[in-house]
Amino acid sequence: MKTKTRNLGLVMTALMLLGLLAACGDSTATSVPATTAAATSAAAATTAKATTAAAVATTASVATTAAVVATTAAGGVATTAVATTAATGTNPAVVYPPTLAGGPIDQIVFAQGVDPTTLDPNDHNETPAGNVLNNIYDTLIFWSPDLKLVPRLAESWKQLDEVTWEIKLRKGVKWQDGSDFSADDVKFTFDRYQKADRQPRPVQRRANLKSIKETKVVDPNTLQITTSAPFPSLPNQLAVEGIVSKKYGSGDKGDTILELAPMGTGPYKFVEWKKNDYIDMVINPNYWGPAPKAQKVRFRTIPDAQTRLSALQSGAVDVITNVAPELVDQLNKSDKTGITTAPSVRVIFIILNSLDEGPLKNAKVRQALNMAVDRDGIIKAILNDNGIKIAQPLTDRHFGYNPNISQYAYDPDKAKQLLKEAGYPNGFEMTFNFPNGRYLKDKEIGEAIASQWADIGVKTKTSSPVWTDYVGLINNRKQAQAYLLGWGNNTWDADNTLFTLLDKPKADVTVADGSVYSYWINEKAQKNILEAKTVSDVKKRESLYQEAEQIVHDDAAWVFLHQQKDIYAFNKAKIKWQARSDEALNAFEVAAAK
Amino acid sequence: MLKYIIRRLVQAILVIIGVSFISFMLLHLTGDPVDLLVPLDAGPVARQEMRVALGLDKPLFEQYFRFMGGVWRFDFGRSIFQSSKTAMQVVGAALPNTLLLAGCAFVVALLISFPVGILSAVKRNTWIDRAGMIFALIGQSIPVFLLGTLFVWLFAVQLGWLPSDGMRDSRGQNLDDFWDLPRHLLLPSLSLGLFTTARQVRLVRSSMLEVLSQDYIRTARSKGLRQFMVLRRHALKNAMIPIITILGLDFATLLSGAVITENIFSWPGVGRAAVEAINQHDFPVVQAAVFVVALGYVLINLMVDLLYAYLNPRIRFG
Repeated sequence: MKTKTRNLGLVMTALMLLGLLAACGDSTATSVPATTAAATSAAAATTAKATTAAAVATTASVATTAAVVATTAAGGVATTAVATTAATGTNPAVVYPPTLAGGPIDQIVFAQGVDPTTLDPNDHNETPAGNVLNNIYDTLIFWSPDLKLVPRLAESWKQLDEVTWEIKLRKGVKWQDGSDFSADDVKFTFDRYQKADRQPRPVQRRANLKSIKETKVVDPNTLQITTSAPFPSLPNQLAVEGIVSKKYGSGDKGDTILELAPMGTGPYKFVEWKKNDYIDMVINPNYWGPAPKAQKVRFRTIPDAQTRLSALQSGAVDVITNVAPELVDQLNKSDKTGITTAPSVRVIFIILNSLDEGPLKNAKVRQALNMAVDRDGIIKAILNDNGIKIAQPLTDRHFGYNPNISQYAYDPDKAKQLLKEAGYPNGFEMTFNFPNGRYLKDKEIGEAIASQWADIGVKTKTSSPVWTDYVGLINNRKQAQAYLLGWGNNTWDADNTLFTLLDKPKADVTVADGSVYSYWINEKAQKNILEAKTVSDVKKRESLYQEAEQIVHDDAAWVFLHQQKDIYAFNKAKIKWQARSDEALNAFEVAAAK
Repeated sequence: MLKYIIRRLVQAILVIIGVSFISFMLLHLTGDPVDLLVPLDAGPVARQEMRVALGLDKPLFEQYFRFMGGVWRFDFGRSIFQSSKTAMQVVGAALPNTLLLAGCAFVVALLISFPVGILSAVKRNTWIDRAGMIFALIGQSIPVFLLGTLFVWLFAVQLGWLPSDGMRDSRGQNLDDFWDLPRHLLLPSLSLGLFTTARQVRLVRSSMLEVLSQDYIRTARSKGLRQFMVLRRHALKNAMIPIITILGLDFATLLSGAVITENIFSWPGVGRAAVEAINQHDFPVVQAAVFVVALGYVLINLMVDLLYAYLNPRIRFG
């Protein structure tokens, strides 16, 4: 071969390599980022017989190493039952962490799909990293398994006025390096969020605490936080921000040490991190809470969903995440592996553009679109029953949920009737976007809905841009007239959902005001949403949100689809464990099977 | 010969420059890493803050010149997400693992393809030959991810003979066991190597066939040399020349094929680091990874060309 040709060949090969790498990055299939999106798409489990389990071809799940999970969250209030104490927080009725029954466990191995990029609890937006760190670091407040706010490093918290909170800290807590925990550490942590000129860039969680104006140390066990505007759900936010040690994290090398070698007040001490391989931790003998059962914990990273399953089945790991729905039956049949599910924090819906001129401006049309979707069918056939229909933006665990809203019925005839009344007897055309591989079965669901809408005469031009482009379309206000989205609000408080997604639409991309996701205007609902941001009275806040939810439902701002169910599998001969809605993998909740 | 070497070196450098340029351009034109560094609901102010902090607000050409300046020093800047490490450190930490895997796959490929290929050529048109060719067809047709998944299911889950994935023991035990690493290497090497094995079998076979039909082979046989000596002394050496050329390309291909294998088998190599960086738009790490792989390609092919010149006197003295 002539050298010129060969060199051309080399360059072409390099280009193809790049193309392959780029394509793999964008490819369909399992994209763990959406945390719950196990999505081994193209589950070729035709006859789903156990013997050919391996045939559930994970289409080159290269993309699984994905993503920073943007679990867009803040904090979240629990269920309405806690309402009275939300603003003056303690919840003595709940004892947490629990003192577990049973004997010790030598080691628990969790397998996630994505490796953390950093072990600095203030500098990531990744659920997998958060899961690891919640065993090493404490937050000020816990979320109990049924999502109640429970004291952790903070013994109690109360509002002194609209913008001032007082937090009393637990006494006698020691850092894993032996030094004493105090309010200085909390101030140091929150100040890290405020530093805009930190090198090389501000901490990634900075936006979560941007409402905090000042953190003041009153005494070693008392803290005062002043916010720049009323922030009624501050406790919810504090439930997800880990506290780091001032002594350990100060100085030039502080950030690097925090990134690579976590040291907290939690039940487990960090031992070692091999990137893309494993993270080891060992029990902390000086933990302030009840001693957990597992003596050692390892978090492994196994990007491929099928390999994760094989690792569980061969006994190499004890708990795996993001199990595809079609594998549930097979796993339940074995007496070594068990399934545990939790209603996910994430809901899936379609945002409709009622802002611009067109058929969607008419509420009847939007309602018709809701009625034309057979959600039961989708949940059964595509998700293997691993979904729960929703009638409003919030799940029943979110503060602000309205239990009195009824579901849209699946009624294509009524839908056609509504279209006729709205003046579209022959239907109409519109654009419809949905991602591919970002959420569990998103592509299949989008296609099913497109065909169900076609059945009532609404023809859609569909498109599945790559996720980063999808986000770009959202941010530049260039999305399709209907676009599918998932939202996992783990503040468990209505604000992060309703304000972020349903506030007045942004007038211009450069303006700070308004929601970039929203294409809906409703004076009453949006007034409620804004007002609720500043109201401290819990009951009043709740009724403001519930009213807004009712309006959002009746006016069909969205097409409401479903709440996902997160599926985990574990070695039931060895351990007992119940999955959590906030996707946490707390080793201190795992008990021995016997 | 010297002119030949110099020319090849210059061409190699040009290729590296070209690849760097293309990778830089492609990355910057396909998305904004800031979107992934701040929560989805962060707002334009937070985004801009992040952008400025990372130097992404500077004009493209300025970014490019800074980038090119760094390439020669193997300096691609800091990783955006693993901010305590430079991009080269991230890739460098993963590189030995990929080299190990690709090397083993390469050896596996050689160990299988040579005997099978030679045997097929020598016993041409017998059932041995047919079996060899069917093996080649199957090996080239089954995609790596399916093969890998099947291997894991069969050997790890059903039979329990081999570990399912990872580089060392899943629980961190058996670290002193010498056979722990080889046990973990076996399945991924097989999966990765079988594809090139299949291709090499055909190549070895056809190259051998071509050589075996030459006059000097007939001469050697008529001299009374045993078949084995004929093969070893005369046939193989001459058959090697085209084979070596392709072997070089194959090894380089293994480096890139490792991406999928590394994901299936949770192997902490460059492929996984690259995919993770691509998904996160961690520009510096992607560029470092592409550069390293391209450099590998170029170096290996350079070596192959030089070896080729050495083996084939016609080039050496021509």
